Amino acid sequence: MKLELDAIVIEEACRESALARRILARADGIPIDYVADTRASIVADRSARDAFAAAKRRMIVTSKRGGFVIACPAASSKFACCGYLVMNLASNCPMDCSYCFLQEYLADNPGFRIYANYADAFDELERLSRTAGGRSLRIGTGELTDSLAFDRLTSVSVDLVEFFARQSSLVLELKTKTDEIENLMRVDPRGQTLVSWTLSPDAVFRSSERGTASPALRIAAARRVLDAGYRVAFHLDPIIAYPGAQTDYTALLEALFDTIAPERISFMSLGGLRMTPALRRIVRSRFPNDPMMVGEDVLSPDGRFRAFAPLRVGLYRALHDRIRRAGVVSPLYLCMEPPSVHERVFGTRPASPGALGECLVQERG
Amino acid sequence: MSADTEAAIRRWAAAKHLSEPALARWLALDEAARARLLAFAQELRLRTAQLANLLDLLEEIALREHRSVLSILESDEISNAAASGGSGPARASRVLAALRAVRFPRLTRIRSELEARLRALRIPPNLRVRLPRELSSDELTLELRAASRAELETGLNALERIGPDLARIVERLGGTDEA
Repeated sequence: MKLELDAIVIEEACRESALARRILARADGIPIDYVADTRASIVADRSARDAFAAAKRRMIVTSKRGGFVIACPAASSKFACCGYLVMNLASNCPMDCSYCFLQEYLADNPGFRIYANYADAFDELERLSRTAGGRSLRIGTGELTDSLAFDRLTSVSVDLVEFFARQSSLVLELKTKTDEIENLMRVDPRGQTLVSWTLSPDAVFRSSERGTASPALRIAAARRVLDAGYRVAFHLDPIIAYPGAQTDYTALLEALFDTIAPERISFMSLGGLRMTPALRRIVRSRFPNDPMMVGEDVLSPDGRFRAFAPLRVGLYRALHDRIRRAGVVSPLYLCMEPPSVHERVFGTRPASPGALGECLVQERG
Repeated sequence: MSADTEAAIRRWAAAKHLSEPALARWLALDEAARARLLAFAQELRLRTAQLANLLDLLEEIALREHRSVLSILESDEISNAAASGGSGPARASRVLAALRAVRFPRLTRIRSELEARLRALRIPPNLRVRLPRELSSDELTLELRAASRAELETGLNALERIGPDLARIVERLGGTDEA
């Protein structure tokens, strides 16, 4: 994939940072602007026809005030959660998927920020590790951005993988829709980094996932990092219940298992397309011609539009069955679904977030 | 012709306080489709919210099924609903229901099937069994009302009789046989 930027804005105070220097060395003709204060660059430009899209094309190098690690913002007592912790080293994403929740979550502050002081997160992580009471924690960088989409420019992944390689109770999850793995090939993860891919059928990729690598390239990249000593995981999320979805998702799984031995997959997750009414309005406005965004979605008890229950849960069950029949023995979980749906799909009550989180980071194979 | 249609649409929109964005979407339809929609609005005496709802459904069906709005409006199911007997508002409701069935085909099919199954159970009047609204969840709601021991026993006996059928309906809500 090609990272397309119109400009890079660097906060004066970050000018001499290692991150800024790396970016400058690789900017390759992208105009650079230095500003004393990036706040004005971060807020939405209301005069732009599509402020969110415009923000994605201007990378802002700034410092993060406050902590980097938080509980997953999607976590809720209503859902069976996975104990995921999020480390926000950037905010917003150069790719532009129709369904992306960031369109609502970052609507007022869509500036595509990368934090020059990202190494400060390491102190935070070490403190977290000391207070974890022997539990293993999974920490991901792919919630408010893609973990690898701009790594060619920043090489942050190298520092991350090296830091986590020295940890015993912390596992890094790099979540991506790209094939930007060259930096990962240079470092030894020592079992502490897991690279996960969000996978969609070709029909969804073509219709709704702008700027991402094709599903085939993602799977090929997964095979390469697996061979290089990384653990791999896969997220079928969002699953879009369009006519023919079951056939297409099954074919996607077959392509995956043809390339990655099922027993070598660390875990998989499933999650249906869900949109708050506000997100749905934004999506309809930004992508009025995406047929994937006009499924048989109804307002669910949790206030989000989702495929109606028999359709959505039936699809989960069919895919779960296919995954198990292929020989995936590692954990599977549902993202942002209530325990009742978990029980219908897997036949068991969900584990607590802490227990599931612990289970997901166990080494297998 | 085009100018006349546009002027008539604008008059209808002004009289009904249709929002500017909705009016813009109506006017963005091709000439034949916008004229047909105007005929619907006038003949069926559509309310403002119904017109907006109709526009949403038409656009979504057109996008998903790669059809023109005119072809949807002129399809048998919509034409038949519009031409059915009764008052304008009653026909308007039927047109919207028919459009929703086209927009949500699998939901409509499964809900109809489940409603038919419930009807066949001959449930006594003091026992209510409700499907989740728009099948948005996997929960069936049961309500038993009893003001006497006899009523309670009637309801409980009925529940015992239909329990296995209700269990199958709950399973169906949970995605059995459906994807």
